[in-house]
Amino acid sequence: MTVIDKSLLDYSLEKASISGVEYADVKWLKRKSESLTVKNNILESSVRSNSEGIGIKILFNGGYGFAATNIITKESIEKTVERAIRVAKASSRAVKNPISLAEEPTHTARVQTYQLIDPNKIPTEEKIEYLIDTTKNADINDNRIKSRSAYYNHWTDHTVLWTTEETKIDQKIIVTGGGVSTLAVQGSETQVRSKPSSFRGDLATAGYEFFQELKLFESALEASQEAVELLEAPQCPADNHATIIIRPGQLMLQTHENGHGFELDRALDYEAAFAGTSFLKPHLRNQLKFGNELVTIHADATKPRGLGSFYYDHEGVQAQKTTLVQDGLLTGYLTSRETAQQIDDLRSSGSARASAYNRMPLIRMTNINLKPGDWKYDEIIEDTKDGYIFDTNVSWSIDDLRLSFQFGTEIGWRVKEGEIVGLIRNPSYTGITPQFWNSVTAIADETDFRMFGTPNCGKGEPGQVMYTGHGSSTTRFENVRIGVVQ
Amino acid sequence: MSDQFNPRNIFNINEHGDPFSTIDQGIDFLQNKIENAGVIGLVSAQYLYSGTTRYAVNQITQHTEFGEITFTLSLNEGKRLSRGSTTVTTEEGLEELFDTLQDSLKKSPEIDFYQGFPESKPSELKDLSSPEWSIEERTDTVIEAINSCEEIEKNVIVSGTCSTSRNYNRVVNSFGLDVDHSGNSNYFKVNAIIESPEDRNHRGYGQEDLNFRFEKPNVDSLSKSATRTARETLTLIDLPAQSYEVVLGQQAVSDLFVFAQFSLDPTSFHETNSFASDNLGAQIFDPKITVADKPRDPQLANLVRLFDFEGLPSEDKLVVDRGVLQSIPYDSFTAAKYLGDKNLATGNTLEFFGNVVPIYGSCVWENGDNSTEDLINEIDDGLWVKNFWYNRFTKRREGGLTGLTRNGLYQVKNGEIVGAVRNLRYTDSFVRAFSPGNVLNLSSDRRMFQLNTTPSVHLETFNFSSVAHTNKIDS
Repeated sequence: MTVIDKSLLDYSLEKASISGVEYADVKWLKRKSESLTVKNNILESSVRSNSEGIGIKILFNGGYGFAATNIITKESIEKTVERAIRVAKASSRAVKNPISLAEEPTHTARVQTYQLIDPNKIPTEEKIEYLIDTTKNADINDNRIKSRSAYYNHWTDHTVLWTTEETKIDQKIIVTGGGVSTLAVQGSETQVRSKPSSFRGDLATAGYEFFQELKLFESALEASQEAVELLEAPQCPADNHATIIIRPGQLMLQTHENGHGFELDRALDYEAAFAGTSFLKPHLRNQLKFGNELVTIHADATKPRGLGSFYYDHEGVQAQKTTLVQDGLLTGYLTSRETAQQIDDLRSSGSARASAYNRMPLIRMTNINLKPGDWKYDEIIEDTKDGYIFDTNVSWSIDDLRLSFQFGTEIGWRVKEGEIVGLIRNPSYTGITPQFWNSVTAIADETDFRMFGTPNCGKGEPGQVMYTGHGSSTTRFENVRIGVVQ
Repeated sequence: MSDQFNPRNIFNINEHGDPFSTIDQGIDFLQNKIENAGVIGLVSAQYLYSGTTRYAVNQITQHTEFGEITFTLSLNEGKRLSRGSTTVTTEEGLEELFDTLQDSLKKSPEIDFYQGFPESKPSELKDLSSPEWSIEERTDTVIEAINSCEEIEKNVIVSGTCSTSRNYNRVVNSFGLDVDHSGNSNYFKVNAIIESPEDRNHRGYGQEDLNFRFEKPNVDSLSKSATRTARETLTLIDLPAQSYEVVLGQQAVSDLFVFAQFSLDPTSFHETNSFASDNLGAQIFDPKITVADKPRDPQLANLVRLFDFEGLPSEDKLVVDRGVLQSIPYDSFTAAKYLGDKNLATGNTLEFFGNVVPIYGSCVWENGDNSTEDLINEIDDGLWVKNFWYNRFTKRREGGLTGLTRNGLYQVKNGEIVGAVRNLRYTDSFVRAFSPGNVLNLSSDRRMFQLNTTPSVHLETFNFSSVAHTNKIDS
């Protein structure tokens, strides 16, 4: 399945090696994508994109240099290698602590995401027809519904990574998904309801079978009904000590935003000027009680179908499952080869990925998953005397240390005496990360576990948008401040 | 600014690469394919040269350079439309793009309101460029920034970014449109962290950044300012979250107003999901606020271009005139959909985060008469906010936002700065914040940011909803 001329990869590394570099890698990455948007029964957007090029990373005198081109000729690649060396030499003038890389075995592999149905073999008109039918099914003949949208997204990232350490990896990651969303407006009140999740739906590393399993057509009607019902529902009240039950459709973004704090580049201040740092400083490892004993969190790049799943990262490190929090205690980090040895880890956690051929790998989340608990979902509801259920993210904000957060969700329900008694609109909650995770009183079991994909995680300069995954079961928190209003 | 200006001349081929033969050949190839297929086409070719030098923990950590040619193709037949892009610039790559889109075009249903590509309009070329900023110059700037910070505080942790980009665009269509333009921008940022010698969990933070084109920033001054802020924020005053009289610094104003710019998109406007819905022509902001979109002003706006994504000429346009909302931007698609006429497109279409959207992306606020320092001196009892962070909508229809202060929040009493304040989270609306009567004054000094150029603004009230974070982590 490789379509890059391997002699060009060889040439890149040879050219770099004779220049006396300490390390070099060359990454060819081709992304092919298809995106369809239907709004109110009309195909409004049908977009196909191909992106392909070569990026060359050089380590010279302890400084990194990176250059990239999408002109894949011997002449262009030669110039790009020279540019990467020039950049690395300039970097080395401003290096006080030379970069050294954690050891990683040499890998030779050809791997690909498992898919049952190749999305490219499904005729485009079939996908379009399905999306049109979905928005038709969302039509409940209510003029407060201002728009009904359905989405299909698919891309393939085909990467070939060769390094001067003899690693040769050929990897194809396949992503597929979609969603349905409706907007209801009444006066100054607006409500959006999305299925199965917001912001163009859910995605997984899988084939077309995942899109089929989303059952957008079946859920479209409920999306519209709930959007209209939310217009009339009571406002989420203000309460500083509420019990809230968060469904995986919202908890995915909670774990995402808190998950950034485990990125070791942040914890080591590498991202201080942009994404921010982290309160999870390395000296707090095995000391800080991130959550209570119910809370165990893994970064798992090996979880099938997770949007953050892969086989090798873009430094050639094999995918792993890393424990970030064990029974509440901070135990681990997401690391790269550059950062791992700075906290005396012998090996990178395999978390360095780049969003495109022309981007340098950064530490990115893989699948940040909350370990399921022992409760049945229904038992949590029945056990709750006075509380709220929140689901599906609509708004998110967190500080640069990943401590102070505020989230809004599309939908909420009131729980009284163990029963769901009605909807609430504009749910929101706010808190401080370790206090929040130390207030957990119940986590539902494996049967309630659900993974969601976050395709739009921004980090780095120039900007990189990466895809990550987040799995959890419904979780109950106590003493949470809800209903923050202007 | 002569009539002879050639947009290609802003590229130094040795330094930035030579994309032009590839672009011209690619466009010719696609135009032939379009003509032979008997469909209507719009081709946009872009070359982006980008150099970024990131530094952290007092050394360069990421240093990248790349050049990229992208072809974007839109095909139209009757009321059908398909669009795609590729960076595969070989004939095989362009043929694959064309064939895929032609196949998609045939299989796509008709869009009942679609009217095709807009008619072209004449426009003049203009030099929007500025001097380059080389790899070595950026490296020198990093070294200067680190040294300047360390002059103020030996143990400061310094981070930041120096970046430069140059872009060239050529847009052609089946109706004879053939336009090109080029431009560039530069960005400098310095961030300083100082750890408390008594408690390593406690730190002070400071940051300064700006986009620039003609005058390189005073790196020494900005670096020292960031370090002083970091030092000042080591000692914090705890204030309750409540409504305060505030001066929002230029960055803070930019951070809020960019959400107004996002909300002026025609889809949200017509679906009544924007603050602008039902408010066009209304006195929604204070009369002191006048904002114009100036995509042709390289002195005042960061994002400058002569033509938009559809090849329509850009032009200066009033967005807010003395507080009255004047206009919203359209591309030909939304103009046809909502106004019934594709030619009411305003020339503001950009490719932004992968989406092709009409946006006022070069908003310039008129300035006031007094300096930011004068505005701070006007505060009776309130706060000076240098910037905000992680701002997000809470209620789009009302312009409701939440976010946090990050690098510089100060208590001010009787016009004097008392000291730095622990960061606060705000939950308020930019519509309410800039509403008639709540804006007391604007500063004369402005700073250029990615999508707008803004002064500092003195507000009578601004609502903070919680204390942002604490050092008392339970462990």
